This record gives sequence, C-alpha cells and structure tokens, in this order.
Amino acid sequence: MEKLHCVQETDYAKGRATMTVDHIGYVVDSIEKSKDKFTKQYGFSVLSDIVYDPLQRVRLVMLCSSQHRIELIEPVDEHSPSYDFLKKGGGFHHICFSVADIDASIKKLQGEGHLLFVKPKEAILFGGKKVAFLYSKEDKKIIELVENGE
Amino acid sequence: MEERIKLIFATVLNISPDQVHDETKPDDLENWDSMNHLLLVAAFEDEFSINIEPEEIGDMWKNYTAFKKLIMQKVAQQ
Repeated sequence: MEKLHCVQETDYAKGRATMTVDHIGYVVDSIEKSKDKFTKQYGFSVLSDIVYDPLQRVRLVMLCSSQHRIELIEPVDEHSPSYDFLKKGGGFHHICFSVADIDASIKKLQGEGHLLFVKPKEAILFGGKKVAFLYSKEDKKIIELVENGE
Repeated sequence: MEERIKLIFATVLNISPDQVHDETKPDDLENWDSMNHLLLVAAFEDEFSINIEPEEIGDMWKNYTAFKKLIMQKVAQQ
C-alpha cells in the first residue's frame, strides 16, 4: 500500500521530470450537463469559462479536483476531429502532459513510437500556450503536450 | 504495391478488401473514423518505414485514392 504514495519517489518530486500530467481530456455531448454533473456529483470546481476552439471545432472547459484537472470537450458538429469519438460513446480521450520545450518533447516522442498529427499551435484555453497532439502507436491512444514556458 | 496497400488498409480496418475502392470515402466505411485513421497512418509508417507529416494525415482522410497516392509517393521517395 505504501507504493501507492508515489509523490515522494517520482522524478517529478525530485525535479527530474521532463513531462508532468497537466490534465485529462474527456469528450462529452453537452458541456453544460457534464459540467453540472462533475461539479455537483463529483465535487469538481470550475477553473475556466466555457471557450470555443475554432481549430478543433469544440467547446472546452477546465475543471479541477484537488490537484487533478479535467478538460471537458464538446464537439460542436460532425466536422470536429473528436466527433467520431463522441459517436462511439465519448469519455476518456487523452492525457495532456506539461513540458518545458514542446519541440524537443515532440522530437523525443516521435523517436519512441509516437505519431505527430497536430503540430504545435496556440490554444485558446491555455491563454495562447502552445499545444500539440500525438498518437501512441503502442497504446493506440492520444496524448497532448502543452508547453509551460518554464 | 497497390494490392499490398489495399490489403494492409483493409486488415487494419478489419474489413474486406472488396469494400475498398478508389472512390471510397471515410463516410462510406463505418470503421474509417478519425481514431482509426490515426491507426492506419501509424500502421503504414511502420510497414514501409516512412514518415507522414501532420498536414498529410489530414489530406489522406479525403478518400482512398488520396490515401493510397500519398503512401505510394512516400515509398517512391525512399
């Protein structure tokens, strides 16, 4: 059971980590309904306004519980890249990692079996910070990187 | 080469090669959605040891002809 308390042992705690979890992306069909559910039933707080990302054709809001953040993602129409995912049930969509140098992190991950499918671009939900999306060939899952500028 | 591409394409999508034609679009195949498109691109990168750029991934999602052409161009450039 002691091993569940990972904070003391992680590279993050020792200042060696190059990637730390920023948030979990979660696809929903109604951001208002899901925001209500996560706040009223699960105790999340609302960290941001609901914003529209024209590049991804999604509405987004960031929620928080303790140190954990969850991004609710609502595709606005069938042209959104996450619309197919919603049609298949939605839910957990990606893990976003915070990195100091997004270009260096992309290069490293591409050499480790990841496919870059959205190049770094400014994200409205993150105040213009750069984000990129990659696909893990091994896990068949999406990860997002956000450059923290540190 | 074209037959090999079609076979890999169909195998990854778990469909029959008979369902794949030059004019086939993502809307025509239930399994060719945005997530499985990434699976396809990843499979072809590994199969042919090629690198596909983010802009090209979007271009390949128009129809099977566009997908096949891009793969053949990349293989020819090697």
